[in-house]
Amino acid sequence: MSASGLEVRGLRVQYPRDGRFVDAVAGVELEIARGSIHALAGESGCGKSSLALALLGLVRAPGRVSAGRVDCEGEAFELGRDLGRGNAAAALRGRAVGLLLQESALALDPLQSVERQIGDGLRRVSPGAARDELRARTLALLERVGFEDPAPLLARFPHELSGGMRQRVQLACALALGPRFLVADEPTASLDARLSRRILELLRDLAAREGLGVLLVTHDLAAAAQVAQHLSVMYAGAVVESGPARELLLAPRHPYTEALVRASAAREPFDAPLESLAGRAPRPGELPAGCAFAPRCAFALATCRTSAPPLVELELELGVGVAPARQLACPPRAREVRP
Amino acid sequence: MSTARAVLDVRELSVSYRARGGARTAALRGVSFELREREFLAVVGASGSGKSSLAKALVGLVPASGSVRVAVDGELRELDLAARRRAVQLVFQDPGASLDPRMRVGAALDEVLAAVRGLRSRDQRREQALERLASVGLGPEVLGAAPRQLSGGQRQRVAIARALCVDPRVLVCDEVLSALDSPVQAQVLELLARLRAERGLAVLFVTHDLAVARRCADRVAVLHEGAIVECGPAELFDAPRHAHTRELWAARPRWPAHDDGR
Repeated sequence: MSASGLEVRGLRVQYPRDGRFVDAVAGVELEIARGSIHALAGESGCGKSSLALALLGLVRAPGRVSAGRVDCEGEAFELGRDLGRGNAAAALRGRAVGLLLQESALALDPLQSVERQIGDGLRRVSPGAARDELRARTLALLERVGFEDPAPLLARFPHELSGGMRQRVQLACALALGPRFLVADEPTASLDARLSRRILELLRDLAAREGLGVLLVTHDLAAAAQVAQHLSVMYAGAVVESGPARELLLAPRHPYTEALVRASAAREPFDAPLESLAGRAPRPGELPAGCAFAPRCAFALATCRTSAPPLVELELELGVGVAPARQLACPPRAREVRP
Repeated sequence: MSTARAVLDVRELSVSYRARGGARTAALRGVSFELREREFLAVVGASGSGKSSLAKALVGLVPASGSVRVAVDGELRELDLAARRRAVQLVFQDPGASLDPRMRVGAALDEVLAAVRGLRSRDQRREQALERLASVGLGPEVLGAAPRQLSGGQRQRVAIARALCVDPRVLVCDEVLSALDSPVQAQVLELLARLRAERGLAVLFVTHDLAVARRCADRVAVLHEGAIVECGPAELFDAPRHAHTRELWAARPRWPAHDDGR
């Protein structure tokens, strides 16, 4: 895997609260394979965006990455120490791992033309390139993100573009640096269904055709299942269930994944009742002993409230070695699977 | 449902904005529909279809032409703007932005009860504020909270409770779910169902989420370029007549099915 993927090991992101550091991401392990999409889902505050930012060394003070390594196709980085600033950060951020944010209006510089913004990245990777060559490559990038006639776009400014167009320009800026991986943090949350589908299909094509590995942070399970091969569900800073995206939605095992599925309006058939989930997720630093979900879980046993559940690999009928493996952090449910 | 009386009757509602160079662009082109007692009417459409202009025009936040009539004692009447706004309340997408960050929840509700309802007695206002909070599932402990101390779902409940303070007939919800996670979305949808049953409220629900419309609405109106191109029971999505409805429906994020191949 490490030869053709990005591995995150033991990632811990902390923020100060009431005079001490509390975990927003509490020791997460994650793999993103080249040529595929790994979706990361969970409620707001579960740590999914902190995780995404940590991969790019973008956790800002007073937050910190207190532990964690990234293995990017055989090259290792200490997330906490190396990635604040300096050469290691520059090598990983942007060039190995690109970033696509939700709000393209904020991600793009309002005072620079499309050509300038994309050109900035191109000049960074090939400093001596001639102007004509840069323009040709900029046009090629715009075509890659789905603009059929990109020339008239070059002189446009972000405010002259629609939300869907801006999002594709932002993607072109990320691709200008030639990353092998892309972290997309809620890239379609502010777009309507048609535009959102277009961006997701674009990511899927980039993965399939060009071997890009994508981490898609989203709270939209249906969208995740539509384009992602792999889905991980986070709750209170930890991954609670992980596996093939479609399978997780069709046969969730963790009670939290199950609750997310039952609360999804997109779930079909539409006459199945929508079930809400009572209570709210614990905030960082207020985790109960044992399983963080236990207080909201209808199936919690006494042991769930005392010992923290490990994320273990399930041996399903699929057999071991069929990727991605199915993992579950719920001992009672894991026992049901393994007789 | 068809026997229920109309609480809101909208005829030929049009909105236009001044574009660059002085020309006007039409955001809403003569939209007509009625909303019945306890009904959940979803208004769906792509970005720029005129959904938000419709929501704003109903409460007079943008200049509009046409008529908006509200049922008063069983009769549809054109009311002055202040009276119309008491009958038709708007709840916004982002309660973080629509609630004053410096005002505690108790004060935000108290203000409405004093200014709009004209309640003089402080005890009476407190009692009514607590009643409205209870009806959205919140307890007295939130009275002293500032909006930033609440979760997104709690804030949206407070925004709805504030709208309920004026005893409206109609709640216009403009993308009220889009800032919320699905378990909280489900809670808000449950709450709206309860308010319709208990208070006889009618809900006009503006959304870009077609699954929510299909699942929760009694009827849907599909907006396209400022006009309603199709209107009917939520099941219309199962066999859309208009090409645009078909296109929107096909673009929704599709839930995986057991039988579809890989």
